[in-house]
Amino acid sequence: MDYLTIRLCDSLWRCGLLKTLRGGDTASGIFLIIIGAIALAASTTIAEGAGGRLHPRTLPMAIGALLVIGGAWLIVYARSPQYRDKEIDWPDRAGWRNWGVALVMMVLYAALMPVLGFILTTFIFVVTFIGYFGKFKFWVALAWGFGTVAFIYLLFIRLLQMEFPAGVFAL
Amino acid sequence: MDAWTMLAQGFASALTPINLLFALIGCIAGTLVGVLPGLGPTAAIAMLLPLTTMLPPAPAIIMMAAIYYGAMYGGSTTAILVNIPGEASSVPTAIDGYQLNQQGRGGPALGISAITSFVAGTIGVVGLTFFAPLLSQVALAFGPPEYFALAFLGLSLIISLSGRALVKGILAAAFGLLTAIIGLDPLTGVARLTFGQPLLMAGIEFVPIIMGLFAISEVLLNVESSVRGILADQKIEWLPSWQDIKETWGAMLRSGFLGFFMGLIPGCSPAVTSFMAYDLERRVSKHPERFGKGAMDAVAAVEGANNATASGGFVPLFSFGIPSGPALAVLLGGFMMYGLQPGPRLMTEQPQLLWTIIASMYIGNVMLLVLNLPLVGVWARMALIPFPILGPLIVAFTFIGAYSLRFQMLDIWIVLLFGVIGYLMRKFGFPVAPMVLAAVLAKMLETSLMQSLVISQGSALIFFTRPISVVFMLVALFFIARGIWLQVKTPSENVALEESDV
Repeated sequence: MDYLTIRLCDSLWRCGLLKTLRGGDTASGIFLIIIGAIALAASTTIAEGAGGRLHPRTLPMAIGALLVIGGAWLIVYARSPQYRDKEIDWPDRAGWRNWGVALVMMVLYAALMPVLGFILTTFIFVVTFIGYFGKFKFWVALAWGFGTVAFIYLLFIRLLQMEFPAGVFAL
Repeated sequence: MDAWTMLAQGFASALTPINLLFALIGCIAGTLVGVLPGLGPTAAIAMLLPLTTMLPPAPAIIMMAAIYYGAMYGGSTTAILVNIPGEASSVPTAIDGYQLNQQGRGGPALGISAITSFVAGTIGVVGLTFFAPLLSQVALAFGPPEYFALAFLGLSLIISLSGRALVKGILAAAFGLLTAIIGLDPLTGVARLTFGQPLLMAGIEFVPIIMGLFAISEVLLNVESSVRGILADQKIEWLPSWQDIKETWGAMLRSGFLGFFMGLIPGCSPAVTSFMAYDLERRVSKHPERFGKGAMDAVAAVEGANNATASGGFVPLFSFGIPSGPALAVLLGGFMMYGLQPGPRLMTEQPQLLWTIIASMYIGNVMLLVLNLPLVGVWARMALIPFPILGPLIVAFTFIGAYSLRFQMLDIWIVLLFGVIGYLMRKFGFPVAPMVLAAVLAKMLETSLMQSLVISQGSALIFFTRPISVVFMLVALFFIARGIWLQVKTPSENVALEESDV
């Protein structure tokens, strides 16, 4: 996924689609039209409720329509001659790699939390993140990992009695 | 007896060792709760409520009240230091406070935040002391049409919050509204945009959205450019200077009064007041171009409004037993646990208790200032932690904050999704603040609109036939018209009011 993200972002940038704000606004317009159209389509299935003067679908439908119209306006305006274009400050190749790695780490952190439990995934995430981006000695990352989970455990779990996914430790 | 005599008696009671001790415990707990993202005063008071049963009513209620207003002091800390607004009311603080921190001025921003919280909190308590019976009528004057008009006025701020990217601001707000209306219709209970997913029935909370938009997108932005630390400048200031205080005292007072009056309206959350104070300050500021780029008066205005709203909320609570928000509703539960019913009867039957609580709020404000000012330097040193270490901590605490709202994994996924959306919004020049404001106002806007239309049997004229709502509507329409006029008529890049995109 990491590799694919970098490749996708890189190719979009290379073909110039998202290199400038014009491309960015066009892409945003398309995204908003899709979201608006989904909202509009979903609104038509909303049932009528009892007791209200306003049909429950009115607001979702109005917002969906606004997004479609606004998205279309963004695309049209981005293509007009009076549009003042400028480059988007995208990262370089190494930056995209870091971006992708960080995102994948966060996604794995969230995905593994119900399986391995909050404490263990937090430890792995903190140590891996510091180890990868920090260029510190391994024991530094390890110490921060232990310190973080100890703090979280004592404050949130023991003192505040909050419940987090226990994962394998629930067994 | 007059208010002065009652207040003196209240102080005599509030200054007893046991009341002082529990005020201090409440202030410390409140500060801690405020600092931790996602864990609000409502949860903290609810958690501590059963533990207070062993106490007499005065120290128990003093402690719970202190947690409530103490949380307002701490709420700005993570917003300024690491761009994590733990609640919606801290969003405008994060916008300018984090910029100040990157400029090495996190310490002064935290210091000003503590001082303005003290000033505005005290304004609120003075208002509560001397004008409560007079001002309490405001709470009763608000019905659904007035709430709708107020929410509409709040939404009109989108125009100025959008800066020069008006269309993008409006679209961001529409997207925010769309996310907020997912779930059950507030009046009829019909499921909307849930796509048959039971998890979506309860809707999407705006706190994970805010955390994603600010904290996660900030982490992504920092890793892409291999940032070693969040400080752009190595010159660091630890405490506010007299110049900072001199430049912000006006904002402290203005936001204090605005926040107090808004706090009188039940249901008006500190988030709405914060955005209004931010917008007001930008309009009257001598240097509006700094807003969004690190304006100290913006931090002062938002924090002042936040705290004064909290104090103002005690007026309808003590006068009529009407809680302004969820935290005060739990506090009301605390009163009831002792067989006390806040309202006119409490004022006549238990004046000693009431004035003890009010006096304790003066003392609590001083305690919070004394507690928070020395902590400023300690917190500010967080900016020295290298980003590769700070980054995962930001993510972990953001996840905790989001998860602790409803204990659902869905909220963590929402944080991540909106983290990526926030990142792209920043790259494509979409202002984030209008989206947050719309998401926060959506419930109030929709519920009051539906209730108003039921009252008026479907006529929208109801908003223009009641004195308070018509004033709000006209002010909102004026703001909208003025904002659009400025956009159309002023092509210059130097439109001070409209320049900064936030």
